[in-house]
Amino acid sequence: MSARTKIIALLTSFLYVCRVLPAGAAENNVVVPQAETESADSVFYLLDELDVVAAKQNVAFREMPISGTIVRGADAERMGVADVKGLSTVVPNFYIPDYGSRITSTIYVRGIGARMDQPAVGLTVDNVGLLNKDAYDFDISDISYMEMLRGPQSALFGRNTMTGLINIRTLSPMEFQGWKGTTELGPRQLFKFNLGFYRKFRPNFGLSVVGSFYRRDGEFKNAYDGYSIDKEVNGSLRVKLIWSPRPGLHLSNTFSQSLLRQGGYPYENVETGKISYNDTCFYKRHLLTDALTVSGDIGRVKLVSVSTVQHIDDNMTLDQDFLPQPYFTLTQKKKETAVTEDLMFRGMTSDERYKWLAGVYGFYRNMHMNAPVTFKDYGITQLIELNRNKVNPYYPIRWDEREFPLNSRFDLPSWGAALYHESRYEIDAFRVQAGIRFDYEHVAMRYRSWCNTSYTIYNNPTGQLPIPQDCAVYRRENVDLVESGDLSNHFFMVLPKLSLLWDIPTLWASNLYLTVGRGYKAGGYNTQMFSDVLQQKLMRFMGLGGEYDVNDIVSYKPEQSWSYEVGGHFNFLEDKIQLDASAFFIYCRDQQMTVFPEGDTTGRMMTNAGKTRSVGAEISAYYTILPDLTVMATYGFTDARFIDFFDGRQNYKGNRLPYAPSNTLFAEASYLFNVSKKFKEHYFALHLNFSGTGNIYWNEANTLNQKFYGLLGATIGYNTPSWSVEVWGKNLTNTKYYTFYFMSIGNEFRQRGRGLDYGLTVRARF
Amino acid sequence: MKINLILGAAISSAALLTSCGLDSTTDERTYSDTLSQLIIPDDVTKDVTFNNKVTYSFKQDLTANTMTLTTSNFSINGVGGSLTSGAMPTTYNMSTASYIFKDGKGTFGTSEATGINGYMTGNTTVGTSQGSLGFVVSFHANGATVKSFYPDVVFLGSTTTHYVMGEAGDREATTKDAFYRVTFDEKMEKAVVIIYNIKFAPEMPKALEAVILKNLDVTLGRDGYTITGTDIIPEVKEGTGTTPYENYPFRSFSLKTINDELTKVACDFTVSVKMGPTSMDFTGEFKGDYASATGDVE
Repeated sequence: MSARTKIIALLTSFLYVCRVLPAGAAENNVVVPQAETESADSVFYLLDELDVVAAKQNVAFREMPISGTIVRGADAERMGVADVKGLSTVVPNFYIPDYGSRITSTIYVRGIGARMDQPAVGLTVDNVGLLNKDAYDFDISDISYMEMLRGPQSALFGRNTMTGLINIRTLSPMEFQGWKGTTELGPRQLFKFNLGFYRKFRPNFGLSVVGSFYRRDGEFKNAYDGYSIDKEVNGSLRVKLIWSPRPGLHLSNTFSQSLLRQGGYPYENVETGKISYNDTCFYKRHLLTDALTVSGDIGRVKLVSVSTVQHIDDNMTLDQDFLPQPYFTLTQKKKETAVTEDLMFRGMTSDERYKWLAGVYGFYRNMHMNAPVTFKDYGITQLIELNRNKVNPYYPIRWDEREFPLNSRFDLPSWGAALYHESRYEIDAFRVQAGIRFDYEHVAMRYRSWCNTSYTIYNNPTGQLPIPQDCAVYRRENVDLVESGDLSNHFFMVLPKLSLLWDIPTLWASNLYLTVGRGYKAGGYNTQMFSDVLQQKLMRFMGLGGEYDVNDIVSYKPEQSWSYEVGGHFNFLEDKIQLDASAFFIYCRDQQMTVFPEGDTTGRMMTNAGKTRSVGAEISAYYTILPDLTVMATYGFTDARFIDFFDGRQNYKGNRLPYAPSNTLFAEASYLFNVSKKFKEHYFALHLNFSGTGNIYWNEANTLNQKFYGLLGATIGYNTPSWSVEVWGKNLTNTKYYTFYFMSIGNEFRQRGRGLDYGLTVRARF
Repeated sequence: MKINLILGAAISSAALLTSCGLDSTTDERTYSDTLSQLIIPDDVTKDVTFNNKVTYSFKQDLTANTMTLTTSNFSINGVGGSLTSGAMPTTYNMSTASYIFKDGKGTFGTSEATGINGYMTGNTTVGTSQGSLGFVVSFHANGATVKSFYPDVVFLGSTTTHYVMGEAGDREATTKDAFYRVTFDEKMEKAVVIIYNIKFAPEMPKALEAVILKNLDVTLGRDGYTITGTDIIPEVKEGTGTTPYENYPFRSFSLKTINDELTKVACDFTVSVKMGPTSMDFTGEFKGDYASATGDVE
């Protein structure tokens, strides 16, 4: 690649990252203020050095043989994208349904995803690669940019980046100086407040402190008690420090802490159409992360070290049956601490056509979890007594207590290490990239499940139920069950990736590429099955057969994929039109699925049971029609199906994968205009957008689905250099749709999508 | 199929002792087990009798591929003695992990013992163990044929049940999950049969972990033994004890040996399952074994 092309590419990506709609220039009617930095490209160069993803990619984004989407901070603010779920609106073939609570981050990319345990997409926020997807969903203030890289990233980023990687970088004190505040108000007591202080004390030392608070009443009501279900309160603090003690040596440390308390789980019973349950549901979380990044030059080699600490402490309490009757509840409390270290070496030979990257990565995490399921009166009657007494009505039972817990306690330590390498070589207009990663992981689980309860067996000569009052006691049984043990396993993966990119000589800053890569999702142990394990043990104690083999039920191997992609990045009409397009094929085996175990048990277990394939295409386009008028659109199509999947009862070969939409669409038009020629930097901005999702199947049998639906949004704002006011609306037509469906003890539930919403946002910087 | 036998202490489970020969030029192993015996007189007018708790000791020479058998004292047709064989050549069947001996000769007391046939196998289901070492031996001496058997043994095989499912008509269901444990009392007059993991029809919500049929009659005959019963109220293991299941009465039950070695059985039963005001009849058939030298499956 020539030097001229490199500079153009760097500036293009800079403009792309700081994409201002439209591009600000003195000769236009509207003047949009730029970020206040001494030298924009040197700042971004520094920040790229301290960004783990940028450090590994090392080329401008649209110069990479990869599909990706970047949303810059201002656009994220304007579209109300403050978390990972918000990205789902904009990025093609990327879907995170909003259901349950913030512990739920079910991500589907190109048809591949996961509801339980390991994620298929990695998330890095300010260099913290979050290991637990329970921590994925949190509000992030003052975002600098969010990028979503689609396709397997496993060669450079390892575990759980099988279908992509999301990288979020927050505003740095090197990018902005002063105070930055936001206040947001809206219906249902919406109140959001951010305040950030950014200061570059010296040219080589900057510090920022950002605090935020959010509260809102819920949108959905519990018909059982009339209260709002999904209200939320959260707050966070972030401290970022950037320091270059000497030329060529850069340090960055970002500390972040957040607290959350929310209701959640507004699951509507399909039969009644109501959300109605008697026991409380809530989710509380304390999340703490810290990332220390050190970047330095050693001769022709650049060294980047990223060390992180992550701690999550949360409590998910559910009325697990989601019915007005007292069946059973779950309280899942966990504490997890993890440390990671990623050490990268990047260099080039004297022949600048060859560049290389190598690194070593390691992590250790330990989770401690308590997860008792409490059976209540109605649940004891319907699920235990009735089942048992139907089989033997002449000697029926009655539980002595009307509430008892099935206790479970787990310790899950795991650790891993990896070596990786990537080489890039340029030959004229071609660039070849080959990478490989050797990834080892050891997982273990120490478990103890127990229950202590009792019941009485009666002698019922008539066999009539319910038990007549005058029945004599036959025998009393104390139930003291324990299931405990230690499990461990280890996995070794080799993850190659090969790409070929060609700069199209006749088209400015445009290229075509081909990429083949292997991805994987880590194996491990699923703790959710343990209440089933103990329930089966209890039924067996009562003479009704069937018992799980614990290791078979709870363990699962890594899921693996091969991905093939062709695509291109194109620029037309002197960058007025930017177009990205790609087509892909993904083959996935050992897919982690829930199945019915062999034998006579009623629960489900997680196992590696499926082979799937996914084929599709994506396109993203940005068109600057006029300096003040731009449109953008993204579209993704995926046909993801089972090649083979037998769940213990039925084979779903040829059926579509559930929960992954076959189409995603986003389109936005933006128009800026100012009222007075005297104040060129004061302007109105009007943005209209449309997002569409669907068809989504809810089950492997493909008998239930959510058809394609569209949501309309708009923002109108008045902007000045130091403040802005916006009025925004989402789902303006109040479209009704569903984001989730499931079955539990024979009942069907689903969650409605968010309806019409609107608000007022005031921003200031000084 | 994984068998998970829970019930009680082992009943007459073998105490197997192994030892290696001290002679460095031979590889000898010694085993012993306690078995019962069926005594079948040559004179068909005489009754078939039995012996309990006879210790059989085997010395296996792996170098010479021979097996030598001795027993503790027992009685045949009123004459006491112990069996001692010569070194009997053995052949090995890999599929069943069995060492087979045929037409061995020896002595019983002061008389000759002929036709010593049998095998040692590592794949029996005896007592509460699966895959344990077990022995099958028969021989002729003092005017009778003596056949060994285990008084506490589990038979594995296939159970087929027949029932009428309303308007859907006759139905049949086959399972290999169910297995049958047979234990005899000391006098060989009564037996207990426990059927594990039984579902009489796939539509039954849950299998019964262990259905216990007590007080069944034992009849000894020239072909082996037969266990029968009628109108039996089964008990099902529950918690620390058992609970009667009056809604599952076994109208008839019959289990009998069907081969010379007394290792295979056939079983027939009829159960009337009461469900509220109605009842449904199930007839069941089972064929299984606890050991096999050749791996033949019926």
